[in-house]
Amino acid sequence: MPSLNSSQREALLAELSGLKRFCFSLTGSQADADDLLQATVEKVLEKGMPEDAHPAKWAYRVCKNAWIDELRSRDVRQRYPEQAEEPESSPSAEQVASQERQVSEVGEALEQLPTDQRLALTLVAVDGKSYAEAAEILEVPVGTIMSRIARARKQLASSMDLADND
Amino acid sequence: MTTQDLELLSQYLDGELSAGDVSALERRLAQEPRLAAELQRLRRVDEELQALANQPGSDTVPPQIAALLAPVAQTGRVIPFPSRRGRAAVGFALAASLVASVGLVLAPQWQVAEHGGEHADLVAQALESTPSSADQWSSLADGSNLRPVLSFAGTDGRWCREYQLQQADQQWRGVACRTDGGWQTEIQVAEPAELDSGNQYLPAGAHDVDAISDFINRNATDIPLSAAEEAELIDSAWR
Repeated sequence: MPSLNSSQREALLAELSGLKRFCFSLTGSQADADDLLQATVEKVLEKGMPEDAHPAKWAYRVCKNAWIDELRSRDVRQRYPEQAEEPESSPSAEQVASQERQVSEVGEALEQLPTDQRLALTLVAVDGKSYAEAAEILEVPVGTIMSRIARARKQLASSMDLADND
Repeated sequence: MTTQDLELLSQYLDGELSAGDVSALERRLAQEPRLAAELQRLRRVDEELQALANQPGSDTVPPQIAALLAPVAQTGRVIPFPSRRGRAAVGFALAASLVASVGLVLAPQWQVAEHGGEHADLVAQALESTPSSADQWSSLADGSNLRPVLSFAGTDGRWCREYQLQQADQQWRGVACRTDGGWQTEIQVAEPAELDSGNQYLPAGAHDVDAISDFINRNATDIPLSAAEEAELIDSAWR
């Protein structure tokens, strides 16, 4: 049954701040982060959660999938702009999102990272998740998390033009 | 910088190395300036990342999103039926404007219901007996307002109703389906009723509550019931 029991709801509520920060790190704007957070919560409520699932990890996984869906959707809109459906509220929302977008060197560098690396780095370096937790959320081996994070850090350092000693 | 050293430094920053590996790496860092410089470089990346992620408002959760998780927990999952005696007293052709006064009369005897409190009982009564309306709210005895929006047959054979609920300064939209034990809330999301759409940012789905539409599209067998079909069901206690 697509519903959450009270303890799952409480656990998810307690996790919302961290989840919002995760959304912000992924999207780079407050408006997009709020959109992603709302989509995540709605999906969790709609699809439910297994009784034995860890609510926080489950929610992060749903969030990750929602963000990947959004990236694919953006890609389609960019490739086929004349065919893309335009929701009634999207023009104003996108305008606001554009105005609020946080322009910063690290933010721009983050956007250049491959999706897999960005997710892994954000979970660990920003949200403080362990490699094991990130691996569970992203459904990949711990070793994959380790290598993605290392490569992400190296690329960020290069993109941000930090002094390279190589 | 080898890939192996890069991964070693990264694991060090993340606290993922064993105590033995930490000691070994720190001995190398003391002896290898290039390795130490690379560690500082990667550390600066983390500092920039954290500064970006921790800027004011980055972890602020809009109240309407937090509210998505609150209302069902408050109302309970299954809203019990009002007693048949009570429903008969309400009558088939009860006008929505009369629901408030009837609710006041009937509410006390429902407070003893096993599931949920007075509010849940009042919502159940309204779902059981109030016709859908495009603009007419029914005032419940506890001060909240409910407006059934439409009724439809679910793919699992249950009758379901989309509704809007107002309580204090909050508003929700949901779908409840009738089971043998009561009205089961299947989905309920907050609506930003108080927002001024002219000036404020509205999150995705704030206007049309996509999750509700999606739920109905997936679970309805047909178009919503007509007013006459719905009235007949209300009269026959949804049998």
